[in-house]
Amino acid sequence: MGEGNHVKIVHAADIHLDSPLRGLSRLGDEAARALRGATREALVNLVKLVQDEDARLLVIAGDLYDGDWNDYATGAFFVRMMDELNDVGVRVVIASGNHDAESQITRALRLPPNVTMLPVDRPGSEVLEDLGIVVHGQGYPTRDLTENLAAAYPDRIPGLVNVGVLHTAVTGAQGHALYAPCSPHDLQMLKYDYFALGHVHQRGAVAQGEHPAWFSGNLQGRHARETGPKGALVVDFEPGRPAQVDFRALDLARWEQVSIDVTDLSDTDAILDAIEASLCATVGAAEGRRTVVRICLVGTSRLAARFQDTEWLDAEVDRIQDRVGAVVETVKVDVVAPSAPDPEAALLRAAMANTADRLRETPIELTELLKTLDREIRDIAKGASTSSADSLDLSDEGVALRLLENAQSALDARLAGLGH
Amino acid sequence: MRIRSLTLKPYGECADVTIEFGRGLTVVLGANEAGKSTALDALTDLLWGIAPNTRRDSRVKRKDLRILAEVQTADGTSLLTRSPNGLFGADQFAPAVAPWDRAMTLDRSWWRTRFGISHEQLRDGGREVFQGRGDLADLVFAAREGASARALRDDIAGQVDALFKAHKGNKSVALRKVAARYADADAQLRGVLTQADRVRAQRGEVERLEVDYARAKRDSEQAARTLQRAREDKRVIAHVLGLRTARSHLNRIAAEGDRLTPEELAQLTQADERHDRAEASSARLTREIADRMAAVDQLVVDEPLLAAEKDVDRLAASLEARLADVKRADDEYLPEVEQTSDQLRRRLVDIGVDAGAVLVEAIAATRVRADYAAALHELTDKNDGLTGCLEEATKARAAAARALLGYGIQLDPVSAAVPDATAVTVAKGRLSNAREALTTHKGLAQKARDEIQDLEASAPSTPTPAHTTREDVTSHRHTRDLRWSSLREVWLTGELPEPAARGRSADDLTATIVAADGVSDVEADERERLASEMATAQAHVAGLAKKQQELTGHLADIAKSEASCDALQREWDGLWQSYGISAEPDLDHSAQVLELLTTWHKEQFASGDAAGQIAALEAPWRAAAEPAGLDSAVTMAVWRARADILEQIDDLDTQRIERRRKEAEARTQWARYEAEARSHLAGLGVEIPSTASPSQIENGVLHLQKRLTSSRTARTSRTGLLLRIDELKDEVAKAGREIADAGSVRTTLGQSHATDSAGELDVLAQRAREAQGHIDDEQESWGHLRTAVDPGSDSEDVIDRLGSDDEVAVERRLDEAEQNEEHVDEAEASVLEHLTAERISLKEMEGSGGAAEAQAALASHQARVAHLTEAWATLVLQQHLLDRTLDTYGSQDSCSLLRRAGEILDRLTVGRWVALSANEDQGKKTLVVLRRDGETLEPSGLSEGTADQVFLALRLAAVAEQHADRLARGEPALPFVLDDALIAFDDSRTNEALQLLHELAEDLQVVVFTHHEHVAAAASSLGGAVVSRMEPPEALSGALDVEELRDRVQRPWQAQGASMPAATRRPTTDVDLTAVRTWARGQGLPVAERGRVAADVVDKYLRATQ
Repeated sequence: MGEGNHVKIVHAADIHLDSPLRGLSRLGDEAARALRGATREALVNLVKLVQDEDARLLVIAGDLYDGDWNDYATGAFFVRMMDELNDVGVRVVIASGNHDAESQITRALRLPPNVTMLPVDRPGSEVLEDLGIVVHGQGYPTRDLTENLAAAYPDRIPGLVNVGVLHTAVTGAQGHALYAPCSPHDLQMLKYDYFALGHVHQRGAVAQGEHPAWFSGNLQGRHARETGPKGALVVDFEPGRPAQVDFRALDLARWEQVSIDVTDLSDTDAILDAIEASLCATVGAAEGRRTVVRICLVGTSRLAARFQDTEWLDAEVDRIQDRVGAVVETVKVDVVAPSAPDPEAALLRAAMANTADRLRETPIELTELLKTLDREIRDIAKGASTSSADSLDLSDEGVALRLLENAQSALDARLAGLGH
Repeated sequence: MRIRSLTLKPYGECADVTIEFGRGLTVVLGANEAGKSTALDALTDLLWGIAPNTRRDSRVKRKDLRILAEVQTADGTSLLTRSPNGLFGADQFAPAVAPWDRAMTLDRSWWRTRFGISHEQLRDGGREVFQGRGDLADLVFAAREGASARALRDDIAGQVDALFKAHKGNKSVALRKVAARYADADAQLRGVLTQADRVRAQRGEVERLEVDYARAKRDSEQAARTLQRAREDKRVIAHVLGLRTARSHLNRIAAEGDRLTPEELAQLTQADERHDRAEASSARLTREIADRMAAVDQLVVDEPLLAAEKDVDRLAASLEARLADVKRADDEYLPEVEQTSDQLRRRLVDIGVDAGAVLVEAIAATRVRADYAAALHELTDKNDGLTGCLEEATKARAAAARALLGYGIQLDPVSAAVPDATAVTVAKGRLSNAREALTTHKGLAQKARDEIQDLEASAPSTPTPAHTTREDVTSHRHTRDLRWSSLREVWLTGELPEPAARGRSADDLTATIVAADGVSDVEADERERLASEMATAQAHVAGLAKKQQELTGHLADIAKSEASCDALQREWDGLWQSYGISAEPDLDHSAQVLELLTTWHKEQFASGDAAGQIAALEAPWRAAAEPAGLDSAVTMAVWRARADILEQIDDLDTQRIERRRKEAEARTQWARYEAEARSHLAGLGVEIPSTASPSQIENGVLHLQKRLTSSRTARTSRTGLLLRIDELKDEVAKAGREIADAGSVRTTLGQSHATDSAGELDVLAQRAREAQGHIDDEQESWGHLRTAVDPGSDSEDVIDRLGSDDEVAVERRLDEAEQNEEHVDEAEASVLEHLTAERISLKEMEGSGGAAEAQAALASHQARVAHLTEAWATLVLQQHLLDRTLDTYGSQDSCSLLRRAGEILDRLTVGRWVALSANEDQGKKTLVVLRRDGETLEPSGLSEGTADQVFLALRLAAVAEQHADRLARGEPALPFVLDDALIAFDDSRTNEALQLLHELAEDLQVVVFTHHEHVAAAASSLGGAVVSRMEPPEALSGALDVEELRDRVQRPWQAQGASMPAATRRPTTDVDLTAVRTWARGQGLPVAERGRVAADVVDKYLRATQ
């Protein structure tokens, strides 16, 4: 139950300023330039949101920058933004995250007086008397922090609005490294009026009711798995009632995935029309933002072989994205050919499937095939992800087996389409 | 299932064309353009639907395309209709299920691939055999799938190679290009990246230098202050020394005794000087007063005259005006009065009045009472106005009559009538139009005459007959043909003459060909010329006749117009005579005459009207004249003249009275002036007689004025001298006071220094004078000192600081301070320079940007590399999968296929090649072909035609297998179609192939589409085979003469002077030699693999294909 004054704060996290958008291999120069400053624009939007909402406090729950990004200009831009808030009297409290712990930028910066970095060696409480708020929290001294920091957070201070800040992998958060782990119960026990969480890039509540705890998600999606609106949470504390949490989209570009089932589409024109219609709908929902879309074609179609002609498909999709005004990150083709109409063809495709099965038993044979290229582009491709693989290490047998799946699917489609 | 008939009911260019299919082999024969390809498309569309992008909708719209078929199945025969909307029953409405694909899993591509062989596919298959070095898997794959695994493999390999090749030298592959771009972007990022830890270190360095700089700056400021004091000491030391000396002298004088203060000394000196100046001035002023007094005594002043000076001035001022008044009264006013009186008397006489002695009374007697006079004036004015109107009307009428005479028209006032303007305008218009029409017709007639004359003068000459005739051409061609026949005879018999004779014969033949062509050309030119000249002559005759016909027409029009003009002229004359004008005006002036005649009639009426009104005024005049006392002789004209004279008399009388008044006034003024002048002249002693003339009065006044001027001058001089004497006396008194004041100063000073001795006071004054020089020196040094010290410095402090220092000590301290300051400044500058450089470096680091963009660009390039890498890897794995699959594909179950294909090959090659088998070498299976003589050959050793037949054998065996499989699975049979597949077969192999197909067709419907009659003929000889002939294309309607069309095509380059290709030259370069070789091999004619092809072979090919 909130105490003290009626006050509004903004909660953001995982800004990852200047972190590049990943996987934009199809981008033209103009679109590339527009998207390169996306994380900065999102931060500008955040500062504007704070002022527009007349919020008196901005709480950032960690990961201002990518840990391995070491460009001073990035930090300087962040300081400029904080200066802008300083000019209008907005306080900022930051609890550093795992990325910030290893970041050289964090150490090099001189933050303006309105910004408070919470301590990293113990939990701290920043009392903002004029606002009637106290912010409790602790930052990361090192990247690999595996203690439950929340366990040592102080008790609530009566008469003030108590806000907790923590960069954490709450138990059960999928796909995120297990830093500063804690459970929703740990957070609830502290009975804070609001817990501002960071680290998980997908927005969502960990706890609701009188003591809500939220991940705000990141400000700007950076790759095809960070889809949907991204932004910050406006938290409204009114005496006598639980904190009200509202999401505000701040992203410059929006990532989306659309899946199109081509099973009932009779020809390529119908499929291309379906792609265009789907892109139109996605662009419309993004409210004027540039939309980066991963298209997944699925289903069963006699035209499966046609989609193995990537040159043709890329050209058609380029035309569509130009018309619609979207950016297509990639077109993932998972279209399978229907069963063979005659035994000969069935025999052939079955023979190919058998061959693939045998190859799976000796994956080293696959990596041998790929090593000529692996030697040349290992350093570039290893850290890159594609629509089908998080890493493209061609010497990795797991990667090779995944690629074999793709190859089998593609070849099956080609064999089914022979003579067409 | 079998299709028994197919009706193209509109489809493509065909309408209601039916093709019958037999129970066994069917050969569909169609010449070029007969619709064979259309029929094959129709069969395909019947089975699998009409494609949305069909090419067969050229004659009717796609929606109207229809294909009807009679289909025989196990259930019986049914009629089906294919439309773009689907498959229907015989009624074309009830949807029907395709009996050949009830599961709807098949499509046209699959059918054409599996159950269709075209000439092109056969050739591709043959090449597969020929070039594939016998790879069994490839061949079995191609035979069964109807498509080449090699093409698929090549396609994948092409894509793999485009993305990446292992050879390092190949930089153009896509992956190396994007990797290079990635490397560039990485280098760019490193260039713009400013690492935050470096910024932190740099900032530490700057902060350290800032501390150093603050220390150096403090040292520098201290040194500067020391230097400043030393420089100040240097500037002031001389003045401080001067100050010390002056103060020493003053101390000495003070020890000698009392002295006047500087102010007292100045006071004493000033008093003594004033005393001396006052004594000298007093003596000079006393002398000057005596001189002024003597001058006053010598001046004479007339006091009585000066007392009356205002009156004398006034008399003198008005003298001239008064004398002028007297003169005008005599010379101007009096003569004018007399002259006006004379004029009055004469005017009175004019109206019959004798003035006599009393002019005034005579004038009074002429007056008429005002109201009577007004009535008379009104009647007279009215009469004057009417008389004016009458005169103007008379003048205007006379002018109109004169103008009419100018147009030759004598007006008879008696018979003249007012003209009708409308009637005149209408008559004029009609007559004018008729005259214009006449002029136009005359002009056209003259033009026609001129043109006839020109045509007659330019008649063309008679055409000359042609010199070269058709007979000449025939003769030359006959000669040429004879030469050619004899040469051909020689050539065919092989009895060739000597080479020299052969050359002559050839030259002879060439000459006769050239001559025949030349004569033919000349004859054609002659024919064309003659036709052209004939056409010109005919056109000339026709033109002349046409012009003469036009002339006749114009002459008839002229006669008609002249008659019309005469009638209208008579009508015109009659109209004018009815207005009293016998000589009618011409058309051009008729408007003016009409206007003048109208004017004459109008003015005639106006003059009559005015005369009547004048006569009517007589009675009122009499009634008005009588009460005014006018007798009857006074008419309105007389009254008008008398009234004018009475008005003149009034004016003259007024003028005479005014002159008389002015004369009297002038004389009164003079009398008053004379009396006043006499009074003053007598009082001031000027004698004037009692009857004096104006000039005597004038002389007296002028004399008084002269005396007054002298007295005024004397009075002014006296006043000035007396004022000056008073001033001089005041100055003498003032000098006396000055002398007394100077004496009192000395007295006061003596008292203040306790002395009354003048000498002692002078000693005190002398001591004061000596001290004054030192005081001045002290003050001067002090002034310089205060100017020389630095702003803010206290001069006494400076004197104290210097103490007893001299200039040498000060100079030494300055040198030391300067050296120290220089040293400290250098140290400060050095630290500052270092600090500035480090600050700039820090600023640059802090201000640097672009790394984020470069990083984003790098990420894009990385994504591109990853995308292509994934694509390449997937393709490489596909390639590997395909190769591995094909290695095993068909190896187990190809024996029966090869055995069956071998049997078919034996039939197709008429027993020359008898079997096919697999040969395994190092794990790789290859195809070998067995010849009847026992020799085995790899496919690459076969001729192209045999390779085609090996492939056909494999395909037929595979089709038979597939057909059997379908039947075994209970699926309906599908038609097997060959589209001109036997084109490269010789007659015997064609017969064998057809026989084979006929046998195959016992349970599989086989349709052979061909445009070769010999194929159809061969099929006809097979019992049970059906040949369906498609009608040849319709003859063209409106076909033109062939020779004429050729001429039309050839004319353009004839006209440009080019020569026709020689008849003996064959355009062999236009023939596709590959096609010729293929055809020739099919016909069993010997041809080499490359190089030239024998001309007779080409000839045969051309004849066969055209």
